Amino acid sequence: MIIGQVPFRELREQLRHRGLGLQFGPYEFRLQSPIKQIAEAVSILYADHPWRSPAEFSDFRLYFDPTIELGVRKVVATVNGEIWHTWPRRLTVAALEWICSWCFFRGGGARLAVHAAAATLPGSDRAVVFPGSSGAGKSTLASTLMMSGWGLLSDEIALFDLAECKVTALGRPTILKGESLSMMTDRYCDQAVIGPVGKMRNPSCRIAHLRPLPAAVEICGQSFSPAAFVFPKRLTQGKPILEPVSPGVAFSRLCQFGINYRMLGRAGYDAAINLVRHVPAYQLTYSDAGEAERLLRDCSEIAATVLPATRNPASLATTTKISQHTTLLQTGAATPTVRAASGRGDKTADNPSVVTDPADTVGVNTPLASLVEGLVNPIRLQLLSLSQWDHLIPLANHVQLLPQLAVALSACHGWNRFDPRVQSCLKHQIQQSDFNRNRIQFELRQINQALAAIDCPVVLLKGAAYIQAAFPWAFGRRTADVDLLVSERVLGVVEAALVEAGYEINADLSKADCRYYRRWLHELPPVRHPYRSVEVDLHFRLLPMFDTKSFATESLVDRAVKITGSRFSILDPIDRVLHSAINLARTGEFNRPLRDLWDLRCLIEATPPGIMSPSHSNYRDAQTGYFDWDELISRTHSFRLGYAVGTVLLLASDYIGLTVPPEVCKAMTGHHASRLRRRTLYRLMSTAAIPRGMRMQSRSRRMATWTVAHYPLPRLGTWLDPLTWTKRLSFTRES
Amino acid sequence: MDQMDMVERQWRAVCQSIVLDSLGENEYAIYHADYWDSAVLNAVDACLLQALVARSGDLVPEELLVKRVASELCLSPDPSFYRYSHQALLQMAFIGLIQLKAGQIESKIDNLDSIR
Repeated sequence: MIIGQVPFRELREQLRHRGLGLQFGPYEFRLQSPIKQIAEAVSILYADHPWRSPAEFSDFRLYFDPTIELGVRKVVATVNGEIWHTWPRRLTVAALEWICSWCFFRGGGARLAVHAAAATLPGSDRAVVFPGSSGAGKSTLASTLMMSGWGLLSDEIALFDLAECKVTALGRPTILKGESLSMMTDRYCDQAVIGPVGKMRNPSCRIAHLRPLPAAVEICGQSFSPAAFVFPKRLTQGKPILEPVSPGVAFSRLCQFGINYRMLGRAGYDAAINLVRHVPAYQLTYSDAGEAERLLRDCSEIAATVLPATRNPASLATTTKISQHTTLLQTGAATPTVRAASGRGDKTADNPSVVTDPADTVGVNTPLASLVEGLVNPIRLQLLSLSQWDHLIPLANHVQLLPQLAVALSACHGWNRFDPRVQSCLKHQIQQSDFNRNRIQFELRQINQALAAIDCPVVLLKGAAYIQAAFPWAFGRRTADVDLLVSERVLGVVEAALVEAGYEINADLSKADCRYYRRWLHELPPVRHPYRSVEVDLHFRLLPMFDTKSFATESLVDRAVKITGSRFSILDPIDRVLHSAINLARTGEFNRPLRDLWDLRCLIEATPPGIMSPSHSNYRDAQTGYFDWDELISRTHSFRLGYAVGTVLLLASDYIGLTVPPEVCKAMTGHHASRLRRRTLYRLMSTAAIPRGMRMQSRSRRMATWTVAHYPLPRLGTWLDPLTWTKRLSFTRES
Repeated sequence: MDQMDMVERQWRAVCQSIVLDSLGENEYAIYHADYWDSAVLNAVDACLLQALVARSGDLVPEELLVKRVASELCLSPDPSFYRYSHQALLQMAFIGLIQLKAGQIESKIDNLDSIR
């Protein structure tokens, strides 16, 4: 039975409750939504797909829920537990299709996803791939090709498997905008089935989708050898012209349009080299898609191309002589691989198990408890069924602990016992984390070069510090930026050195924004290198200047511990915990609280004694390892931060299983744990931190997150400064 | 370009594990394993990079480097070749393949947009 034969009411009910199972190429999707427009779009655009329930395990779980923001009706999309920004209701269907495309772009670790349309020549099993950015005319061309007898493989994404470099048919609709939509409806009015029409505002035009023909759905999942790359360029007038493109240009463009190209590392590079060596590339300029179709159909060179069926990646890694006299480069030494199980996550596995009595905790979320247990004792997750994994993965992804869970699992002995679909998902997480780690380490080397002439301690904070210090528990943890802390005395010198090395302030920041940063925040305006684009935040304090508890950090910089083999330092173990807690509680960075609480637990329980500062001798050797709680209490009191730190520690104890001696919270906050849990700050943080229900969000959680992100209120002087209002007005405009 | 600057400026390869593949007569694809990045170079660029990689991260004065490459490619080391080589080195530094001796400052790249 196909979807088109199912009564609309039944389809809507299934989408609303169990969800609908859809297979696009190699990936299994589960689609759920109570929105009528989504049901209408599915009934039209996927009419020829099989009607079935979701599989036991889906690669992508999509939810589309209606919501209202500032009185405007919108759609909020959730992908594998990750909540996205909202879409206007008029673009509901476009959001569905766009997010499906995003899944292909970012979702698979074993395939190169190129921003391209693809179709097979009529009567042939060879594919022509049309890479191009939005507006290049690939969708119009793909739609025309399909209606002219070509086999449509995809519109937005050409998915190449890395082993054979074949393109997979996805069986999805094509997207049509503005004039292309009018042209297709006029030209193919009898055959073209168009889905619900939406309206875009920038540029102002209509947007809709063309249903794939039954033949395109029939070949969904099959793979085809590429016959040619054709880079389309649509002009307003003129005859179509097909011109050859050199392999160098083709390689460059393939890298540019290969959305996940860099994340694939060496495997992606090998695939791209194989493709440009064996597949001819052309530039197609056209104004009429029908004429372009005829030109392509008649091009004998395209029809004659054959890509070798298999290849040996190693054979492509050979170096090439540039001239008769040049030397050879060292090659083949750095193929990125998924890390071996040994030596990773060992410390996590050695962590003391959660000793807190569940009865003492408050509102422990059961799937969350499973997740924490999995992080501590990964081997226990071997008992999970596929459908349990289907629930656990979105949760872990939502709280941003999936990469760390993946690494912990890859290090356990029973890795091979996991279902291949689960393994594939986890391997992809590890690959993404390796890419992130590599990117941050490279940035640190560049910063090191930029600051080479400056003789002052530079302290790394948070994620970059954990990466540089190679904390085993932090393998897999991702970070988007590099945070540096320097003494206020040398702030100007360090900033000047970074600027000298090419780092630039984000062009979106106005001069007023920059002044606001310097006057009221704890860091300078973020800078980035224009090529690498990793954000570098140069901190001079740990808390914003507007915070009444903000304090000078000279003593923290002085106590910082040098990272072995690096010019950078990391905060002293006690200050590290202090910073982790106050960063969560008092800087508005409450975006991924559970991951940060897990960091806190690891900082306390998994810190090897070897890197403790020698100034600390009063270690406790109990369940809490070597952590010096007395020193932490003393430090928090000296900075008047006992309440914030104590609340965060209690939260970590309740939800992440951190073992906190009962007297610590009392000593820090003056309250027993039971009383602290009734305080507003704890309740807000708890609501904001813990996802509940299938959607993992609620109005109360959004409200709590907003409130915690704006805690504490700035000091009076900040409100009286016009800069504050300039910044807030600009923020409101952007929103 | 100031001749004095060129004499003093010293370069080193950042990454020793660079893969180079010929794509055509004058086009080379490189894979930068330290950064999982790739780029396309011409014969002169690739030869400059090879000369630096061959020195295993040691510093090489720019003038010496350019002369060696000119000699290997049988080209005349005239001022225009020096200028081109200098720009090529700057661009390779920009994308993180090579770097100047610590403390030396990179001068302006003529056409930054082309390599962003």
